[in-house]
Amino acid sequence: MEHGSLTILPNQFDSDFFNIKIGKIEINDEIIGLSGKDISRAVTEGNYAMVSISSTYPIQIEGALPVGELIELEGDFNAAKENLSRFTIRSIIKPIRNEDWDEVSKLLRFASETRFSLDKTFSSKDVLNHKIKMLKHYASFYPELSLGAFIDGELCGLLFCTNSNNKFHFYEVVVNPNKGMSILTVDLFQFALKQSISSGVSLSTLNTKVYRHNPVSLSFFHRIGLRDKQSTFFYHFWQTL
Amino acid sequence: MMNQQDIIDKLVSFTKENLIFDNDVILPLDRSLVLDGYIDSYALVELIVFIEKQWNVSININDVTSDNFGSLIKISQYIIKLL
Repeated sequence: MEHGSLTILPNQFDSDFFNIKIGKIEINDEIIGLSGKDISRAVTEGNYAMVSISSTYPIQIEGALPVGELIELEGDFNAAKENLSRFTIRSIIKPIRNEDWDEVSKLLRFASETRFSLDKTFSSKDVLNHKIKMLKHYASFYPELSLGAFIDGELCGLLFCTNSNNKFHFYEVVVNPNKGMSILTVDLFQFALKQSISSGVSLSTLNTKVYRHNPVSLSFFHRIGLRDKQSTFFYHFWQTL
Repeated sequence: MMNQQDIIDKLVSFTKENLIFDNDVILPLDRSLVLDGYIDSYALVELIVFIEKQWNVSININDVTSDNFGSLIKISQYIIKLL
């Protein structure tokens, strides 16, 4: 919808997953200078429950809730593969099966914070359900790259990846910090890269997105050769604010 | 038989030279190098590989816990158990 120079686009993906009407605004020069009231009016008139604003630089708009800086990282596929191949895979890695999803759900309590979990207007139950729906969505398209790490039959880590246009994308990694520590992360990434090669897809670039508030993941990706490409700052704007 | 101090010296030396790249840093022996920010989780895996090669031991993933890897002293005690 248009509101003066303000355009809100529906975010069907998140709307479906959260079951509320969510919109998005991609910031441009035209919305600089708009007040919180302008945005609030547009959110209300569009009947959105929440609108997220994303920007490649920090912004200040009254009433907007800053919920995180997401950093995109990229690196060379073969360099990362070589780096990780120095290690022995110690856990059992296999694709997530339908019967594993209850365990996936339990493991997600160790997931790092996202812009949705940091926005306390969402309930923790809704955030978890959103995450599971997202992961099932990715698993439906890339079942062979939706992986679990098992120790003595127990699911202790998971990794969800996608690949397209010569790019291999790490979407989500979660490990139980009380089991195997960082070994599981290395196991999962190494297996996923090998798996993608055996599938015959030609890949040259690794890509992922990590929140600034997650230094452990950032450090890991830097270690396997990925470098910061660009940042996106997110703000949530609720109709009720 | 290697004594605990020898093991700690080798662990410290490897960590400084290959994981932190700073020979002047003073590492705590009784605190977690990861939690205290001296090394990251990836470096811990490199340390595990070093231990296996250096002392010709095999580390079971079930043993990779804070009880065994929560400090240099704990790691050295764990290595002695494996030898």
